[in-house]
Amino acid sequence: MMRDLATRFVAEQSKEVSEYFVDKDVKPIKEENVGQVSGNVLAISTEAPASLGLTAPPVVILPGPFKPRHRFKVLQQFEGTVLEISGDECRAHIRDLTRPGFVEEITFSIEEISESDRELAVLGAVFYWDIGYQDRIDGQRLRVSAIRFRRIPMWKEKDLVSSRREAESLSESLGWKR
Amino acid sequence: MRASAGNVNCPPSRYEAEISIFGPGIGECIVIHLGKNAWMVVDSCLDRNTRIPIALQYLQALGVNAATDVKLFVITHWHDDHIEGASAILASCHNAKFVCSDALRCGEFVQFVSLYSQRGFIENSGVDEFNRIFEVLKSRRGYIRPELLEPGWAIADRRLLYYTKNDRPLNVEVYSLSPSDAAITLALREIGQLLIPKVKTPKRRAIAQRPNHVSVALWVIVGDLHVLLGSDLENHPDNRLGWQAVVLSRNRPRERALIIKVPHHGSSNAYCKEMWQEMVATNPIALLTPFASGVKPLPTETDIARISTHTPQIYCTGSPSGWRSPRRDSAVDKTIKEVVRTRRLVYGPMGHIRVRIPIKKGLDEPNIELFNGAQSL
Repeated sequence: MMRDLATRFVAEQSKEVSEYFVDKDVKPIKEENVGQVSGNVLAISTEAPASLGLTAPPVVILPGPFKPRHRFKVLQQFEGTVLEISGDECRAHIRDLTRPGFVEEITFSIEEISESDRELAVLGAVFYWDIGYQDRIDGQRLRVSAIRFRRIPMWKEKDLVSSRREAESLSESLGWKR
Repeated sequence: MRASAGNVNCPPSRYEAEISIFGPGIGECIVIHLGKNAWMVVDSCLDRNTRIPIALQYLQALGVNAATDVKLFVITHWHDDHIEGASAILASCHNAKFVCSDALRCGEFVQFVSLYSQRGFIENSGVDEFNRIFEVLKSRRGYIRPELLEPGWAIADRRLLYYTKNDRPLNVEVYSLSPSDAAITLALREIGQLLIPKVKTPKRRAIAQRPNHVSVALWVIVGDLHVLLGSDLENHPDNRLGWQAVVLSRNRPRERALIIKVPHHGSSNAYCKEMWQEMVATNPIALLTPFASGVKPLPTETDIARISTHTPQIYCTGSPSGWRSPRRDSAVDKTIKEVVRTRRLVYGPMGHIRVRIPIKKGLDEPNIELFNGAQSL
């Protein structure tokens, strides 16, 4: 009985989820997956732990309250490389990740870059540009452009030392030296 | 002289020189028939559809065996737009001497390549390609002639290839005109300073720095035909560097070129009036590749006007103004328009200009053919 109730509850929740999120990537939760679902449903247990030898009715942990979230539906993705920063303008090459094969050169205002990422925008820096729809919890749909710079570790002394060693051995074997 | 378009896959006769220049917007490659089925290749770019180096694709279409018939392969400089697919050419051309700028013959350049390409954190096409070249050079041992094992080093006024009349129906010579001694000295200092990153600076893509004084300009002689391949060599206020150094050299070939590959896509930075006046014939055939990147794509209208003061015969492998960006989902296009100020596609069709000249007895009228979007300017 309790299992049925829990199953029905999850089914209702997943129906709600699938109705709310129209994004095709969101798969409805199937009944047979009860007990394995994650996300808004916290945990469900319909069996008493046998190892404890309990005979009491099974403990049911009801799912937590449904917490709707914003959803982002990606329409287009680019990978970019900064070629020049001049005044308030950034010049970059962008490679189409959605329809590979196209490389474009663009210029755009530095204002398009979030303040936290702006210091990363230097010659040679790599960024990702996503364009899509954000479906808000109040049902509104916004068209969104998001530029994020890739955070890459700094050069370390050991990088330079090991590359110098590699270069020496390579130069020797190739005759690439004066 | 009228340009036409014949069968692109028809090979030249044994006594016909050919200069084929390819350019897809960013990148260029030159394929030259030196007569009697001997070929040379200068730089490399990829066919965007097949991802095969255009030189190999073209030679195969002509029925040329690249493994045996390509005698010389020159990389004029390491920038992405001149090197894409170079390792595949090197791996295929077992009979070719590999030549690159003497300015790259230093531990710092090898370290630069090693540093950027082996850490696998980010794609650096030019650097990665050079790393693959190193790999091919290492693997060539055992299956190519010993004299081809080590790279050849291009420096001003060095003869890179020489066939006497006994070997060929006519003399064939290839000279490097640059880099000058001073350019090499400067480059050796700069490579360490500019290319090797400092500790605690962020990792990023290796972007080619300008100006380019160490690029390899070439002079090709096939019988009476002289060809000047200007590479991306630029000018410098110091006349020991760039084009002034080439013009002032006492050791360069003294003839005049009938065909010129205009340096650096016709840009004003690479324009040297003395070069046009002293090294090139009257009304030469000027061949250009566009460069669709940069603040202004090259050649600009001003560039074309300037070149046209020297010759009416100017041919370009593609549209000098770049190409229109592809259409996407309307919401995407709308957003892009709101965000960007300027936008253009940097790769277009692989334009191809082909000049063929019979070389058996003197020089006949050249036959100029334009393929795949190449145009007369």
